[in-house]
Order: sequence, then structure tokens, then C-alpha cells
Amino acid sequence: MIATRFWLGIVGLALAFAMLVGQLAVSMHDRLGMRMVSEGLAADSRVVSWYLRNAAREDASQLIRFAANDAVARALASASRANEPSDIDGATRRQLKSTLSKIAAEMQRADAFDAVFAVAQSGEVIAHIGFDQAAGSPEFELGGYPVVADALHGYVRDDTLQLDRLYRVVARPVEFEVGQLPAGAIVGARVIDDGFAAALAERTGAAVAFYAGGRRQAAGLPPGLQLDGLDQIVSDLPSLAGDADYADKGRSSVHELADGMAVIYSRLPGEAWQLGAGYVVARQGYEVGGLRGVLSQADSKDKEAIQTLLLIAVAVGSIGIGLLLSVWEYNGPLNAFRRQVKSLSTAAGARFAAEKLRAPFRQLGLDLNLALDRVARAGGEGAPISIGFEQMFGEAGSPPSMSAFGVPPSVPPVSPAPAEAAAPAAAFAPVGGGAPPRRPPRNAQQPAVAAIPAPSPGGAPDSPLFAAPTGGTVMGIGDFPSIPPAMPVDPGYGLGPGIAAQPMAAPAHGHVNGNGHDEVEPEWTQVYQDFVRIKQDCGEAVEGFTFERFTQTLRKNRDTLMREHGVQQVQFSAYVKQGRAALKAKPVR
Amino acid sequence: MTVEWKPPRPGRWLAALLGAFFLAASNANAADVKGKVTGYEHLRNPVWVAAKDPERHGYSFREPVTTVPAAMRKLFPQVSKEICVVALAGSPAPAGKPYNVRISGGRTTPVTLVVAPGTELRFKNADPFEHRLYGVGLSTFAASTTAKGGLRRWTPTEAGRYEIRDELAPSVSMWVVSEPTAVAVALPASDGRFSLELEPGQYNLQAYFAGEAVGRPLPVVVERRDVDVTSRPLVLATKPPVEDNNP
Repeated sequence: MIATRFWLGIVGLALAFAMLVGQLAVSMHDRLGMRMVSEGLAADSRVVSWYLRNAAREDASQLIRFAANDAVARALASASRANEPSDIDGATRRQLKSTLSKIAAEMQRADAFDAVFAVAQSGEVIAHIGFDQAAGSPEFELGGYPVVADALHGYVRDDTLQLDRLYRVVARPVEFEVGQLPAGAIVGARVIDDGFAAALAERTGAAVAFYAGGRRQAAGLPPGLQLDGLDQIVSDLPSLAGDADYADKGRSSVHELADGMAVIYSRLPGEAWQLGAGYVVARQGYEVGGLRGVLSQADSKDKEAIQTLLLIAVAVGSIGIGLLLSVWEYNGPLNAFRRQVKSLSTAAGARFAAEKLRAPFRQLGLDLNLALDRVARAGGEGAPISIGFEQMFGEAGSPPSMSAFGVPPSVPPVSPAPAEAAAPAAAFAPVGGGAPPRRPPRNAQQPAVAAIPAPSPGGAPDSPLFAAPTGGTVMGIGDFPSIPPAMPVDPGYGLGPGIAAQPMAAPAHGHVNGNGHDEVEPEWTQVYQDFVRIKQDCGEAVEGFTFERFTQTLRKNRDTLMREHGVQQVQFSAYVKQGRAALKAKPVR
Repeated sequence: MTVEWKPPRPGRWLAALLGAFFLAASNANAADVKGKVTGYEHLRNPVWVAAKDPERHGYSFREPVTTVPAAMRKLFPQVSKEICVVALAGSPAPAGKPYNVRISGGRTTPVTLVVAPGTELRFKNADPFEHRLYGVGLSTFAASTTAKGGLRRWTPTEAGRYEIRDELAPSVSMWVVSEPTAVAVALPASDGRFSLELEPGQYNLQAYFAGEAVGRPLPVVVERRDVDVTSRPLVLATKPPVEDNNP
């Protein structure tokens, strides 16, 4: 399952990487989108400013119609000669107003002013049209405004006045006699209302709103745009007090409002500049609002850009690879194991062919082989197969078992066995070179499990005889609290994976040592055969692994255990540990 | 509702006649002092001069009309509204009658006014929209809205120079000079001529512009007949200011 797990890891990393890329893309998109909006807003603001200036110039040109009219000039010259406004006769006022109305009527609608004022040199308004607020007010004048004063002194210019409403104003002098002070001035005004803003928006393509006195005065949107949130500027206007760009340059930085709207404020030229009046251009931001927004805001063009086949291929490929790996690593071995179990059940084979299995089924097969052998020995062919804790590690509550030679680390290592020892009946051809120990002792103070070095075909193992404990098998300690109940032998130390402990019967043959024990216990032949068979099942080399060297090792370790623990018997058994043959030793009182 | 008119009682008729007599008697000794101011074309309206500064962003374009002579394209004040001629007595004078100040067209009329302390000023809004006048640094004349046609009163009680401005119209800038010896004030006509009604005595005629005295004072002795000092005009300035280099 390694490859499958590795593939799952790859898929998980790929998914995390995809999310990382997606989040980065959203962030980059939003940032670039806001930059584009900012640049667009700056352009809109400049275009509106240019439009206002250009429109004012055009309006100043339109005023020539009034300023160059003889009747207007004559009437203003007459009015300017009066010392007091009350001295100006009503006929002059009426005639001038009629002239103004006539000229205005001749103008095209797009060029016409909302209001026109004829101002005498003193600043008094002699006649006006379109400004009904001042009707019936003979004292009404405009001479104090710089735009009018400039016109009365020979300049043409524009201004933005905040009176009862916002007005874009242009004024130019009216000359009656060449080389003299102008007779007066003519002033044209346009109300900045929704119509003005709409015309501006249509011609510039910018969404624009005008504000003054903390209120929105007018708004205009180009065709096709819907900016419902434009009224948000009212609540945002106080923030301009802290905008250094707005205070110094008259144009703010980009302000982001709710719903992704971005705006730039600009001051209006003229007196309105000092009064805080201005205009604002707005654009809708391009924020997608995270990965969820990517899915919700994608339109048909975005969806058309998706390479569906590629996505399907990636998904199918990933799934296929995962399935293949799982079949190869799981289903295949499982099926092989299942076939062997089936053949075993049909008595076609008496044993598992563990070499044909892959982990973890190989381990299962080896264990089952061992169990089958024991069952056969104990109850015959027809005995049921029962593999339990007792078989593998000894009975719980029985005298503790330990790995062969599983004694504290103070026990000296096994001395090398002579290479020329006599071969057992089932002779194996000796081979040179024993495998070095694979793992050093871990905890010699708590020898719950010890390993025994396997007798090397070419000589005695040069590693410590007893390995460190490899597990916490402490059940069944019974009368031997200091000795673990089962001590699997590390296969890396000689005899290989352990052999389950078996009750030792009285020696049937062999020698008896000085302590009254046979040099070769009767069961050791079976243990040896089990051990060799397990090694073969595990695919280990058995060449040179002689019975004599095997028994020498067992004997030394048996004696050591008997001396250390004061027991009369030590049972050995072979078993499979981690795919290798191993031995277990169990002291018996 | 109808109001019944009743003729006044004889005693009231007598009081009214006596009052008219004493009033005429008090002015019987007054004499008209006629004079003239010149040189005002060399003065410059500070508000307009400031407004032409491009740094003020007061316009998007401002260009001279070349058919108007360059000498005329100077922002000299409107003499009938911005120049004030005051007669200063040798000793402090009592407060004068209330003086009407008109607010209209982006300025007040007059722009500069010299009065004796205690003289009430009545600001009348002649514009068809609101104004919010306030005295610069004056706690007694805080910003307050004056509606269309509305009237606002203020009395300078101490001698000094006060500037009145409008929160809603930056071009409105008025100067009130509270001068204890001011006894009469006149605004010249568009040709610079003015007329003052003064009691017999010695006075100095002084012109004021933008809150400051301009030109030299003209001493005048008034007896029981009119005085014409037109031949000795009040010269407000003799040369143009330096800022004329920037048209």
C-alpha cells in the first residue's frame, strides 16, 4: 500500500497547491483589478476636468453673441453712466432683457445658457434671463465675484459659484467704445444639475456626481451603467478632510466604497474650490471575493475558456492511477491470498506458498503455515486450525516465556560456534558469511523481548547474543514477574524470527550435560526443522545452517536461562517475525 | 379686521411739531462738504487679486481681452462701493445712527466702513440665497445664517479694525473700522465725488480702502456754509502696486 499512500499524498499536495494557486490568483486579480479601476478613475477624473474647461471655453465663445450686440453694449454703457442703480430707467432694463432673450432664443439648445446676466460697470445686474430668483430685486448685483470683476476689467474667464445651487459661470467684457473701460460684462451660467451631469457623462463616458455642502447635487451615468451605490459618497465625504492629495492637489486618492465601488474626488475650479464643492467619478471594482466568488461571478465567456477535456482527463487520470495502485497493492495480493486459502481448503495444497505472497499476506501465510504445522502435530490432519495468543506467545498466566536467551544484558554473548561442527541429519550445505546484526539492543534493562543471533554458517555471530526488547509483551508473567511471558527473537540476530514456545517433553535422545540435561533436547530437531522451513518460506538462505550449530546456540542459551532464572526447562519455538524466521524461549519450572 | 383711525389729541400734535423743530434746528448749522477722491485706479482689490492667483484654483482659464487697453485691465476697486471717506473730528464722537450694509453680488456695500464705536450695523441680505457672515476672530459676531432678505445687526463697541467674512461666499470680505473720532462717512460716486454733512468745526477727511487708511488726510474747516474741496482731491495712490507685474 506504499504506492497508494504515496499517491494519496501526491493528490493531497496537488489539491493544496491548487488552492494556493487559486487564492493567489484571486488576490492578484483583485489587486490588478483595483489598479485598473484606479487608473480608469484617474483618467475619468482628468477627462471630466478637461471637459469642464473645454465646455467653459466654448461657453465663453457663445457669450460673444451677447457681448458683441450693439443694443446690449449701448444699454450697459448707458447704465454704467448712472451714479446710482435707481438712476437707471426701467426702459433700458426692459429693452436689455428683451435683447438678451432674443439672442438666447437664436442659440441652439445645446449651447443655450440656463441664465444670462448683463452687468453694468458698477456691478449692478441691469437685466437677466433665466434667474427668476432675483426677479423684482433691483439691488441684485454680481460685481463682487471675481469672475465678474475680471470681466469688468477686461478678462474672460470661468468660475464655479455655489449660490442657491452650483453654477458653472463664464463672463466676458462688453465693450462700447474702443480704448475705454468695458461698459459692462455679460455673464452666462449653467446650473449643475442632473441634466448637466448626464450630458457630461454621455460625452465623457464617466460616471460622475457633483457634491457641495456635504450633499450630492447632481449625478450622471453613461448609458449602460447602473451605479446604485453612488449615494455612498455622502457618507464618505467627511473622509476627504484627511486626504492629503485632495487638500493639496484637488484630487483625492482612490476611495473604496461598499460593494466594490471605487471613486476619486476632485475639486471644482473656482470659488467652489474653497467651499469644498467638487465632483466624483466612480467605477465598479473587479473584486471576485475569494474562490467562491470565482465560481459565482464567472460568465459565459469565462466558462467557454475552460478546457473541459483537460480537466476531465486530469480527474480521470488521477482516479485511474489511484485505482491501479490500489488494485496492484491490495486487490492483487488479496486475490492471491484468497486463491491460496481456497486451494488450502480444497486440500490441493497443504501449505501456503508464502513466497508467492506479498506483504502483509506473506506474513499471514507464514503464520498460518506455522499454525497448521502445530495443529497437525497436536491433533492430526483433521484438527481445527486455531491460532491464538497462546500458540504464538505462550499461555497467559503460565510461567513466563521469554525469547531464547532473553536475559538481562549482563549475560555474556554467545561464543562463536565452530564452523566445522557436525552436520545434522538434514544436512544443509554450509555457506560462508553470517549476516551482521541489524539492530542493536534498545533497552537492556527491561528485556521483555530479546533477540538471539542466528548461528552463522561460516562462524559464530559477532553481535551481542541478546538484543534489546522489541515490544511490550508482558502478559502472562505469572510467577516470573521480572521475566516477560514471551520473548520473540529478532531475526537479525541469528536464528531468525522466533519460534513459538512449546512445552518441552522429556528428552528422548541426546546427551545429558553436567546439570542433568541432554545436550540436545528431543524437541530441538522439530524446532530446527520448523526454523529452517520458516526461513525457506521467508526466502532466507539456509545453506550452511547446520543442526549442530543450531543446537550449540540453543544449548548455551538454555543453560544461561536456566542458571539465571532457576528453571529446569526452556522451551524453544520458531515463529515468523516481520517476515523473517525468529525463535522464542520460554523458561519452564 | 378693521382698525378705527382716531385723530391724535392736541397735545400729541404739539409734541410732534416741537420735535420736528428741534431736529431742524440741530441740522440748521450743518454744512455740506464736497470733495473728490483720485488715484483709486492705482489701488487693487485684495480679494480679486488673490482670486487671480493660479494657486488658488479660482478658474480653469483666465485670458485678457486684447481689445481692452492694458491700462484698463487692472483690478482697481469699484470706487462707489469700496472707498470710504470719513470725517475725523479732534475729539471722540458719540455713536452715529445705525448704518445699513447690503450683502449682494459677492460683496458687501460698502466694503469698507468707518464708524464710531457703538454704531449699530445692519446687514441686509439682498441676495436670493443665504449668507453666513462672521467676524474674523470675533466672538461677538459668530457665524450665523442670514436668509434671503434677512437682517442681521452688530455693533462694534470698541475701537479697532474688524474683518467680516462669509462662510458661503469666499469673495465677501468687509472691513469695519471703529474709530472714536469718526463723525461722518461718505461713499464716493463712480466719478470719485463725495459729499459729507458736517457740523461746524475742524475735521480731517480721510479715505479708507480695504480697512486701511489710504492717502493723506485732508484738513477741513467747516463753518455755517457749504465747503467744496473738490479742487483739493484726496489722492489715494500715485502709482500702481508692484503686483501689477502679474496681470
